[in-house]
Amino acid sequence: MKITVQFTTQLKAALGLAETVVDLPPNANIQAMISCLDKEHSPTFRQFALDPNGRFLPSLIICINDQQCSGDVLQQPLTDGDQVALVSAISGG
Amino acid sequence: MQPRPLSDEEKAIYEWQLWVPDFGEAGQQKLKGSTALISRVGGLGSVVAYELAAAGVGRLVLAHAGNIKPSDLNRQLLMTHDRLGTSRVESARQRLLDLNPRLEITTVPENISVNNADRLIREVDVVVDCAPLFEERFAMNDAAVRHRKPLVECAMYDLEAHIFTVRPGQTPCVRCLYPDKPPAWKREFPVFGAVSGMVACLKAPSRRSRFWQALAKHSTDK
Repeated sequence: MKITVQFTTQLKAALGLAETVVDLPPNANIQAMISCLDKEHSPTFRQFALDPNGRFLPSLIICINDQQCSGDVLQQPLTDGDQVALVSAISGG
Repeated sequence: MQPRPLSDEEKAIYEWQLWVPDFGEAGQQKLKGSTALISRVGGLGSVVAYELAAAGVGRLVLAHAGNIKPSDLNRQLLMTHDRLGTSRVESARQRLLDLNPRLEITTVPENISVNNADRLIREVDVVVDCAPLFEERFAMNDAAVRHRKPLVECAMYDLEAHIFTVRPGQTPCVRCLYPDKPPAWKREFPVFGAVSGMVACLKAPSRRSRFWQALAKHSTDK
């Protein structure tokens, strides 16, 4: 299934991408999407999105189809055609 | 925050503003009786301070360290070319008083930190966060939550921005959204003054603004 992933602020600038499409198996979840992005965009994605142990950083908010995920974010299921935004904390003033 | 009566001069100045539904003379008196802390008077904070001064806020506490640099001048509208190399908060104070000489201003030539956040936030009614560093934002958030003061949180990067209001005990706070700073975050950010100014206007006083909602709700809660 195809998932569109949108990047924001410095992650977008570092990757040089506003969005990308990842191809995931049916019933994949956010964790699978993150692993796919890590493989395709390493080491930049890892630098912004994962800690040294490979855990997803809480400084990124995940939204699926404009709805903020809560609870166990990484276990959120995805469906074909979903749009996922990785929204970074911002501090520019 | 105690509403303060308006003078005849103020009634004349704010005449058209008093016509705003749900604001009126009572809202103007409340605004005059309120004190706002603005953390940094840069691209966002300059415009927030200017709009607050124009709208008739009673007192501003401006916290910003350092002297004016050339790279401030594309967006920090309270800094002027002839004051390059001089104190940012003093330049801001003078420009604001040119606009509104009735305004009380306290300048603090320091950025917000864990060392001064409690002292500064304790004495104000609302905090407006326009800081460029996460350390400052977290220090302000933590002190605002401790002292139960509303915090209008705003930040921008290029064409992206976020604005939200923290009402301690009623809404999530900054740390609820972002427990930690992004480790790879770089301090510098691309910015046109028009963008930071537009974002600032969204949180400065207006009928539906974050600032006004935070202040109005805070005074109701007390």
